[in-house]
Amino acid sequence: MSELGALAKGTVARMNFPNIQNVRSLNVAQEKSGSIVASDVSKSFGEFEALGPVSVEIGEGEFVSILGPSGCGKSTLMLMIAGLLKPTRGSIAVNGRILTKPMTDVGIVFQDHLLLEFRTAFENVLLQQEIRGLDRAATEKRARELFKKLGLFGVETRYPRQLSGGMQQRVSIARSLVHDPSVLLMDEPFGALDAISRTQIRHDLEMLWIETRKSVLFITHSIEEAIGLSDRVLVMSNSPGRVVKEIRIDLPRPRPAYLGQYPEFSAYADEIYKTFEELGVYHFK
Amino acid sequence: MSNVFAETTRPPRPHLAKGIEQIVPPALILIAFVVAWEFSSVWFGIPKYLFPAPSDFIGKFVTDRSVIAYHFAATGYVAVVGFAAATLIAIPLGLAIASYSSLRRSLFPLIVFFEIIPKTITAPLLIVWFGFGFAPRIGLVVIMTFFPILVNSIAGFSSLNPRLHLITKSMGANSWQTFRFIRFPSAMPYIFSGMKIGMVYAVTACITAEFIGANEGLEVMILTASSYMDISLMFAGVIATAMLAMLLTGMLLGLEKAMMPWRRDQ
Repeated sequence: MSELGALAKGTVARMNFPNIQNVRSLNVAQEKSGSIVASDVSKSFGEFEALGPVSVEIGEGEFVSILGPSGCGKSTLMLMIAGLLKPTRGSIAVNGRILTKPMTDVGIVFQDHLLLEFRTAFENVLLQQEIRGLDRAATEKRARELFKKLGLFGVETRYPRQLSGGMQQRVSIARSLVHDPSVLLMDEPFGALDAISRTQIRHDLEMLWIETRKSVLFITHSIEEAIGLSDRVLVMSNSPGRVVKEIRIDLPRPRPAYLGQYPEFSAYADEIYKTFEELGVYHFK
Repeated sequence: MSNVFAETTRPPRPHLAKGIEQIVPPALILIAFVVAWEFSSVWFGIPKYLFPAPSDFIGKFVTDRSVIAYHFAATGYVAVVGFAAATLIAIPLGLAIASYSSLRRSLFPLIVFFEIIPKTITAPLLIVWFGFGFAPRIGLVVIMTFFPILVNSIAGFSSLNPRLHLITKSMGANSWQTFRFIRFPSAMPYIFSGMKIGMVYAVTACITAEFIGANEGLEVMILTASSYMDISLMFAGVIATAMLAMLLTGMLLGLEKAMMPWRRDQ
């Protein structure tokens, strides 16, 4: 318990990470593998320290969740990994190369779907093709397949305002995958959805992931979602956030809607709740 | 914003029934208005040489059609050319002002100053500068339509959700692509509102300029008719002006619908 407390205060920087230097040299040889190594990145906005030094490693084809309380800097970390925000300190390497501009071999899904209101669902997805100059026919074919797999039937010509929140987010996921990136970054993608939609969309995402095995960084506050989807869960502390715990999730895939049927699930969930309590995220009497 | 009911299939509604519902009530009101006007001279005993009934001047559109068409075309030409010129200057300037905050800060007082001046004041000046041709009238149209389009363009180009740049940057979009795919379509509804206001001003500006000095145009025709006490032709001129304004606005609305299909039935 005291060790965790020390971690939260930042006296111990890293815990569960393999030797980062080794990981980086290993990945230099591989091109387009989609591995990400964030080394000791931190972000401050003026005086305010948003994120702590944090080291995160996502292996090729690995599904990693970051679980943490609001305002701990999870989204900031994701934006830095995407190359959309410059770290104050530390560096991020993708496929062994230090990131200096926005990553483009990537799909991003945000909590606000960020669809263009003036394009139909299908046109929103095909924006990837138009901007990246991809082959039109091949992208359209992929987009149709993704729509089918994501349960988007008969909505191609609808505009975003004509879709429900769940549908909008599914279109946003299709847009993030249509160009077949090696990395998928998701920032609380289901945060604005109701519990019933969340369970379905979580399953659909898992099935897509099993098929394509992209490297995924998934940011969430939902313990169930993190355990239900991830290979590894990184638990973050309160602001300025640090990674205080890494939990490897050993559950068979695809995972069921009700995770409670696994005794391991309770153990993982319990561990996370205890960690949050020790960090002072929760105050239970 | 989002319509949660949109996923359920709507019961098919025949377009014809919907069309009738939209057209019939305003048509009835229009007919009632014309009939009331027709009989008002009888009911209230207003002499026809002061206030003619529709039946008195509607014939003018046949007997004097070439005169009306000539002046209609002249006014329409000035309105369209002036409006197009104002649009072509105002939209890029609006984009520049919205894009550079230093430009916005330095130009804003000047814009407010020019916007607050009643534009018609400049008409005599324009005649001094450009003489009595089409030029001073086109100039007045430009001056009057320019500001609503500029102000709305600035608002439109400033309205973009900055988070959308996260998406375009991760796609590797260059600035032209960002403009073409994101910024311009986002600003379009604002630009069109400015253009619709501008179009109304454009016709007003034409008529005002013709009032001050011109050789052709609907207001010239009306003034000439008044000197002959041809009150029917004067009324025909008023109706023709209204028709011109409606035609130009209608064309703009059609263009708006064609360019922004996502805003139909909203």
